[in-house]
This record gives sequence, structure tokens and C-alpha cells, in this order.
Amino acid sequence: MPNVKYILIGGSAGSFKIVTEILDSFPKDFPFAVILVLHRLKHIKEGFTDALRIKSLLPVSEPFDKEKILPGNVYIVPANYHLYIEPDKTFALSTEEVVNHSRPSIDITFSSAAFSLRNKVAAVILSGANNDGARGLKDIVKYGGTAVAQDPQDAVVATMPEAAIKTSGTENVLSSQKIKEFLLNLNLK
Amino acid sequence: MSNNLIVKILSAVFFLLSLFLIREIFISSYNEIPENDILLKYGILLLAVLFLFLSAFFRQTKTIYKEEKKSKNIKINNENEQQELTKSKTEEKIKNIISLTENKNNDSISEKILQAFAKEFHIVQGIVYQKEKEKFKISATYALYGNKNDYTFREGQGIPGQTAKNQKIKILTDIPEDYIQVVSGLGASSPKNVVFIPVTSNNQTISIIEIALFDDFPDDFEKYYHELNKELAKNINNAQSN
Repeated sequence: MPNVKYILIGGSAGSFKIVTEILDSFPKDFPFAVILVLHRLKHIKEGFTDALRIKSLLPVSEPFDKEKILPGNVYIVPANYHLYIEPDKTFALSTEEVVNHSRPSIDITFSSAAFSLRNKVAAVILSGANNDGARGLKDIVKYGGTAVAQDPQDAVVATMPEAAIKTSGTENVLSSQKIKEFLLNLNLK
Repeated sequence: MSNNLIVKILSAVFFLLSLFLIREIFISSYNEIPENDILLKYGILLLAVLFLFLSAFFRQTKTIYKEEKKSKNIKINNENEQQELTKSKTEEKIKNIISLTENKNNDSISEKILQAFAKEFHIVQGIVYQKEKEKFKISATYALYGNKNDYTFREGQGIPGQTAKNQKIKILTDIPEDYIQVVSGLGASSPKNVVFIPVTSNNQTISIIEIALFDDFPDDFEKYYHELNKELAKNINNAQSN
């Protein structure tokens, strides 16, 4: 699996703990751009990014519209926006209709990244209580990216990884511990 | 708080005491004291009781009034501090916007203006229009992905056109429901404000900045608008000649 430069992580209910654990495990010189698409409520916007910032050795920010994606950074999709990944490796924010009852929609970010970044992206679906991300992960597989889903047995809420595994057909079904190892050893296999 | 309690207890004690005295006088009056004397004693006693009640009442209202005044003063102080804080904040934000848009070319200046506003004012969405010949055209958008349109207007047409004509900041607080719907896990909500900011040069409007915000637009923005307008116009004119 060479060439991966971008890591996408999609999570919803029950994913916060594992997201912080994953961020915590990334070293200071981590060469990937990490993009987090997490469902959250509007009112916890501020504290949420701060909480992740404390845990991470990498700079954590909410990207602005048309901002360039840079390696070694963690980006969190701002609450109430959809985030597209453009072929010129920039972000695009949108306030279109909600998709799968959510904004941000994991599907939108994953599908646009699949198309724009092809085999340079690894995407992970974590615990969650809806089907968001399933179609996105399918597109990741379709365009040659690396697709990973949390083992439903290991997830706090199994619905989202279950749907993602079923729809995308990915074989990379891993526990949270294994996901960390998997991401740290990307490009080494 | 404890003062109030003491006053209440004291007045209750005085009340009971005076009731007891009235009863004593009433009983004794039938036996030996002449009529005039009884009236006198009653009168003095009633006056004393009234006085006690009144003094207790005034003391109580005085303490309440003092406490209220105290908290009011604290509140006023806080408000003043807050105003000082936001005042300098707005000025700083405007300075940042000016410096963020310096030395750009014509392709990037409009984008930079929106990015600068996004950074300083947490905008939800934004559009920059630039005047080309007689029409204003969209030259940059913020967070309008998938809503691309080729909306144009002349001076005087619609709200942005009116802003271009009046050369004054226009703040819309009554946002039409279909302007934009932002939906969170908590339910749908529209932005609180849409603000139109004209940029003028030689008495001509050269650009309109339209931004939608969730937060209140700072009250003191207009105070710094003159400076912002002057510098933004300079930056836009420079960009166009670059």
C-alpha cells in the first residue's frame, strides 16, 4: 500500500474516545494529512476541537473554505458544514442540505476524497448509530483507496461500521487497537 | 442577607411584646385608671408600635436598596469592561483583515477578503461582488460549494445594489427563511445576520462584501468602517493593477 498521503476518519456516536486515542498515537513528524469527519452537536463546537488539540502532537484546526491540505496537520470538519476534498488538494465548505440526517456528512467527504485523491487516501469508519459513511467507503474502494472499518464487536455502537463493511465489502475490519497500528504502519507494507 | 433576618426577628419580637402590653393595659384599664389616661396610654402605645414597624420596614428596604445598588454597580462595571474588550477586539479584527488582504493580485484578492472575514468574524457564508463596467459580478464565494450562480446586479438593484448606491453598511437581522438553512443536531436555524459592506473608491462603489453570521455583528464596526473601506479600496485597486 504505497503512496498514501491522506487519512480520513469518520465517526459518530461512541467514537470520540477512540478518535482521541488514535490522534494521541500519531508522532510529531507524522507525514500524513489527517481529516476527521465527526458528527457532533452545534453547541459543543468550541470545546470539541480544543479537547482534540490537547491530545494531539500535530496541529489541529478547523479548515477554512478553499484552504490547502498540508501534511502533518489534523483537520476537523467544522460543525454544520459539509466538507469536500477537491482535486487540487484543497478543502471546500458547503452548507447544502443535510445528508443522512447529518452535516457534516461522512459520505460527502469520503466520496469527494475517493475521487480526488484515488489511491493516496486511507479512510476509516468508526463507531456510530447511522449509515453515514457506507457509500463513501464504497467509493474509496472503487477508486483504489484503502478502506478500513472498526470491528462492530469492538465498536460502542455497531450500526455504522456494520453498514460500511456491508456496502463497501472491505476486508480491513479491525479493532481500535489494530486500527492505530494499521495507520502508523501505512506505506510500510 | 443576615441583616434582613435580624430585622425580621426584631420586628416580630417587638410585635409580640406590644401585643402583650396592649392586653395588660386593656385588663388594668377597667379597674383603676381614669378614662383620659387610658386613651393617652393607648395612643402612645399605638404610636410606639407604629414607629417600630416603620423603622423596621425602612431598615429592611434600605438594606435591600443598598444590595441592589451594589449589584447594579458591579453589573455596570462588567458591562463597561466588556465594551472596552469588544471595542479593542473589533479594531484589532479590522486591522487583521486589512493586513491579510495586502499585496494580492486580482485573482486572489476577493478570496482573501472572504478568508480574512472568516478568520476574524466566524462567517457562515460569504460573497464578494466586484464591479465590471456597469454590473456587479460575483468574484469570490465562501462555503457556497454546489450553489454556484452567476447572479449580477446594477447599482440600486436588490439589497446589494441598494448598498452599492447608498455606500453605507446594511445589516439584515430579519433573515428570510430561504436565504440559507443551517441544520445541526439540534434543529434548523438561519444565520442571525447578513451584512453588506460596500467598498468605495473616488465616490464610486467598486465592490460589495456580503457575509452571513451566526453571531451578532459588532455594534462598533461602523466606527472603524471608514478606515477599513479606505484600506480595502487601496488593496483592491493595487490588486487590479498587479
